[in-house]
Amino acid sequence: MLKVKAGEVEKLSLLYKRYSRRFFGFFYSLTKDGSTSEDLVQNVFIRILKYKHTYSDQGDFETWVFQMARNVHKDHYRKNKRYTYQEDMSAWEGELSEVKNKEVEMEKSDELKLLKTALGTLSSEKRELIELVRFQKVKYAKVASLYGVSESAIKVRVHRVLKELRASYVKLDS
Amino acid sequence: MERDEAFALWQDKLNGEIGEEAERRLKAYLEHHPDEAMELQGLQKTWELFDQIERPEPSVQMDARFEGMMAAYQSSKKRVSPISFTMEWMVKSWRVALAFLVIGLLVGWWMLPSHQQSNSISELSNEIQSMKELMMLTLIEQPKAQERIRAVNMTSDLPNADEKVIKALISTLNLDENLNVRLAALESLTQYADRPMVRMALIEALTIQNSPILLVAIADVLVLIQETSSVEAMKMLREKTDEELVKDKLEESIASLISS
Repeated sequence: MLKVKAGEVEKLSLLYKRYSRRFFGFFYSLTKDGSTSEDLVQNVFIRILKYKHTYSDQGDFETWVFQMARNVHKDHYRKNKRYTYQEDMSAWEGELSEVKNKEVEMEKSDELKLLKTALGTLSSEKRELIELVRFQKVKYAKVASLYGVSESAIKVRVHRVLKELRASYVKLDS
Repeated sequence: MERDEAFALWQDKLNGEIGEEAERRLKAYLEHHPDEAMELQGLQKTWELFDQIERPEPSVQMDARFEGMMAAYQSSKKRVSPISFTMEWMVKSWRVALAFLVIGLLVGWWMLPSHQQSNSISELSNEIQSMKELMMLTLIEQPKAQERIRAVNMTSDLPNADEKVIKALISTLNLDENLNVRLAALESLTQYADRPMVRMALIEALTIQNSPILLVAIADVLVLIQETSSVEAMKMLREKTDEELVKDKLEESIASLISS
């Protein structure tokens, strides 16, 4: 990144190779739309070029770049409030009964289906947190610095989200 | 140990980042709190199930768009790269510079001894041609679209333009961010359509461009120059595009090229 900052912008291709798939997964988990996620990945790299001068060699690149990805998503969400988040479990009752009617025995694929459904019941912020720590495997210390809180606060937050997720999952399963 | 601390340590354990001492403490805590131990076991199952969730993959277009963005960014940076003061002045007032040059050359030619006159005329005309080409190549790198259109239009005075000029026009047609500049480049390229390089570039442009107006204009030019080898590229684009306007135009152009 320091080379990109120094003007060797072609080095951005290396960062793209390393991060584009991760960003795509990150945006997809928040938007559930492939084409929008691809647009947002593109926006992140445009922003990297635009704000490359703000990157400091003292800072951690992964944290810096995920902060950028979060901002890109926030901007997108502000501009297009087309997708709404469901905190309310009642909206998923329909899906639940559909799952229940169709299936008699719960197999692995059904468990996954339930888990995905349960993930969908989480708010955007909570899904983002799970995405970062679980799927993107960003260290707790870095996530804590992204959110501006302590590492232990992040761990407790993750724990609570997991608990909520588990509760939705169990409710869907029962 | 507090409940929250135990949960935090448990998170570390899930990530395989827990030390021996901490693990011992966590174990001791859970032995004394069987309900919480059970809850954590349940959560662990959920945590592990995440591994089986399939991750989405982007389409191939995402990489192509990134490459395009990089090319456009680098070419725009090139445009604003520092050029010498003289060159900058000449570009800003290119008409004045050109007029001075022509006057200078004419005066020089006037003062030449008569036996050198015929050679000098051809030299003079070559000099003017090179100067115009240089002007065109400099102007086409300018950040203002208006300047770039002016550069493209300058080629109407350069019927025998060299390869550098042609390449600059092709690159403008393919990469310029401004549609009007790209359209002007297409129009200018038409006058060099007898050159194989230009004909190939026009066919290739069908696969690069995405502006319906430009695609229709390219199809028109290909029909005008009767480039029958473009039929395949047109057919491919016809299948790919969702633009009705482009589809209709390609249909018409393919029919016209086949029947000719």
